[in-house]
Amino acid sequence: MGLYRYTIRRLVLAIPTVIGVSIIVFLLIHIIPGNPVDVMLGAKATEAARIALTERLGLDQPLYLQYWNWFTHALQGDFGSSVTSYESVTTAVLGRFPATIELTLLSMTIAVVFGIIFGVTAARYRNTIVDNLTIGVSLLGVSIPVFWLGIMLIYIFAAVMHVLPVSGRITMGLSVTNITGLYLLDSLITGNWAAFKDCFMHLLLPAFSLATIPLALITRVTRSSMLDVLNEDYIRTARAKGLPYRSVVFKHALKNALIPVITVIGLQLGTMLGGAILVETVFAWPGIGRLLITAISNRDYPTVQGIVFMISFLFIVINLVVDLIYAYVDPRIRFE
Amino acid sequence: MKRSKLLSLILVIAMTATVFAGCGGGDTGGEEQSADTGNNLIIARSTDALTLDPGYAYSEGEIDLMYHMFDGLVKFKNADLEVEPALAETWDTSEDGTEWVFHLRQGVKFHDGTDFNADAVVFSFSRLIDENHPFYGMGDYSYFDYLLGDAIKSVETVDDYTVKFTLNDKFAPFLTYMGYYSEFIVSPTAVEKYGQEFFKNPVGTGPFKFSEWKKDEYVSMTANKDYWGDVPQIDTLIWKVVPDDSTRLMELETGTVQAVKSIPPNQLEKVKSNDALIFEQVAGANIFYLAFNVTKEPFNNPLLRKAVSYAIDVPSLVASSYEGLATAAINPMPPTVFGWNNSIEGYTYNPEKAKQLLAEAGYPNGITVDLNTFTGARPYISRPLDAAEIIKANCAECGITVNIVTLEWGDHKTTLDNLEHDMGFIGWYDIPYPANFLSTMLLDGSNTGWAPQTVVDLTQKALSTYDRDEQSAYYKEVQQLVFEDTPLLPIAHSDYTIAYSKDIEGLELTVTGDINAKNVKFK
Repeated sequence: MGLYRYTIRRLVLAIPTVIGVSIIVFLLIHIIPGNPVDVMLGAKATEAARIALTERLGLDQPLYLQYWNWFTHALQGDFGSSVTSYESVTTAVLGRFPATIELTLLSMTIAVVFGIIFGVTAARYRNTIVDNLTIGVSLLGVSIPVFWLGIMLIYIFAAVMHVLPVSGRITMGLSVTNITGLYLLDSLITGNWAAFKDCFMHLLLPAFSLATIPLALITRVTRSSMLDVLNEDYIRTARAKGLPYRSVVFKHALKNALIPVITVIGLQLGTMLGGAILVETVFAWPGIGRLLITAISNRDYPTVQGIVFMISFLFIVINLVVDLIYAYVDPRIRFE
Repeated sequence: MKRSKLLSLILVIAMTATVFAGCGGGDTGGEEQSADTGNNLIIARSTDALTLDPGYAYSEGEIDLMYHMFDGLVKFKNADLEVEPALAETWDTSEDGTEWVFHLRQGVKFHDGTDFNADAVVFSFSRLIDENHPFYGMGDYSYFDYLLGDAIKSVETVDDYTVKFTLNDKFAPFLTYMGYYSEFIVSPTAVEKYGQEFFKNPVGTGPFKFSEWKKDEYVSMTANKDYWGDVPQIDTLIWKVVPDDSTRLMELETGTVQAVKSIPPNQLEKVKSNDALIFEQVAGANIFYLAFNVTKEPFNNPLLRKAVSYAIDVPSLVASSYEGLATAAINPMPPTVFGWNNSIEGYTYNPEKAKQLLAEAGYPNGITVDLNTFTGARPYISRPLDAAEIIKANCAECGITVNIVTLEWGDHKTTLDNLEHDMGFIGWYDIPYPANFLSTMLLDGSNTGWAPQTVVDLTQKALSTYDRDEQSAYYKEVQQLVFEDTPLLPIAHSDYTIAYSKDIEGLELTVTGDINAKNVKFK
């Protein structure tokens, strides 16, 4: 089976997953006990307000029809409008995505760069103090709760040392011309250095907090995968031909050891979107996680459904892309 | 080989250091922030507003803002919520008390330049009352509707600066409610211009003009230099959203914000011991109580309700759950509200009496009941689960076995609204006016199912007199009846708190629990 056919097959297989997710997300609103309208509006609401909201949410229609309407609209990117802000859910979510993307990308960069360096170093100096130290630190990395780490980092770097800001995305009074929504990129494009520096400072602590778990996992996977590869015959052959050890490790071994690492990176990218909820709350970061939390506490179900569906969809896409990269890197997979 | 090991160790350390060095790179980052604060006041709060339209605002995140951007015809002048002139200079009432005529202040303009006059007042109220008004129903829930929706029959202009309100009947809290934010006046031009988007583009006559709202980040306002009253001394007022308690306090400690609302009990010591901060608490207009479901077994039996009430050591519970940020409750209304009955002593902890009443109630061998509680904090209790554990332990000593049923707030509220509970935690926070607690809460929202005709009649009488002494007499009788029949056990009135920097003065927490930053200045 060629890569093309493999891609088609994977795409087709993703369809039932999307449908399954959509059913679960849709049913969220019906699982909660009581009438969703009562829950959303509270006891003090007038009858007129209740009827209006019931109609707006289409709750007066049969369940299958409600699902069909919701799903067909969702496929066109229309998740209805927020119960609280009347804004289109899609607009609200897209408005918040750049903040989360910026945070996630920087975190992932930190995690990948340092994770691979640490992992390779640990594998190369197996069973030495370097290895033990790396493994110890990465164990700590997966175990420390992200929100606790975030608060500690703020305490040390902002409250005690005064070198970094406490929270938020940019200092009050500074602004960035909105082009992509990614403040770092936008401030670079417009040459606004003061804002670039300020945004970078604001990004460091949340990005580092969010990076710890993937960093630790990437380190461990890189290490064990490198150890496997380093025992392979072709590595011995390369060494025997007299190639320098450094070149064998980075050119021959690392390339082959990266396959499981790619999988971990892909999965972690999805998990990071979840981790962002905690980090965004601690650092008052105005991203998708905050939007979700606010929507949940306001019982704004259309928004909750929209966010959960879009994140799930993104997760499926990331997995698909990872599978394809995997297949591209390792041709054996396509033929199984 | 040995050398390379050492080298790689250095490498690893260097790598780790780079991550942190990146952080340390901008030594000036923190300083710049506090430097450009200037004459701008930043207040940090846990939640953002959902709407900036006073007619449809109702949550804590919104109410603070309303008092700064809008004005009412009258405003509160003291803790009893008696009023003084605001947009109206004088007012008079007809002999039967159903007509109120307000004489408006002249020369006032809305932030968009529109003249404030009788038409603006009629427009502001009609859009909330009159279903045929073109701008009716711009929100799902109107606090105005809850307070005055049934009371006001019509609002008409008499002349350019005179407005007449006609009520269906005498309505005791009318003038007080007119000072509340939900009765504030909006610019008709702005509502016509923005329509459904007015909630994002508020225009009033208040001391601050709206400037920007970045959802979940901040709402900013600038001083209204043409304000008809005292012009603010600060230039900008920013309401920043910082959801995490610890982060919020650190913002205050580092000086990036000047004030923080609602200090959780666990931060109290830290805040009080910080010399750079001022901490204030005011008695809150709220109540946390245990609601007995009187509509079904077993709590349809008043003796059992009393047995449980004697079994619980309320003062100890309040001391340990609120850490000094509350007063133990006796009546279903805070003692700061006029009409509070000070001759009732309430239930004092008495396990022996509890056991005796339990036996009299027909349960000599004890009884098992459910106690419904919820997760998360409410304005009247920050740790409901702790309180439930204390009640369980107290009751166990008297032969009452308590099963704690914990639900998420929404589900909990639904369960209690449907009267599916035995006894459950619930509370109320409202305007500190007796009708809100002893009529609205007690008879419509107490989650007890208790509403005897005598009490309904008494509250009706209280609502139809403007004489506060008369009202007090009726409400004291209501409180006596509540105590005698015990449909609920009052537990606590939680204080409202604020902490702010010593660099500012004039910041105030009002009796309604809202921030007043109108008179703030930097020292």
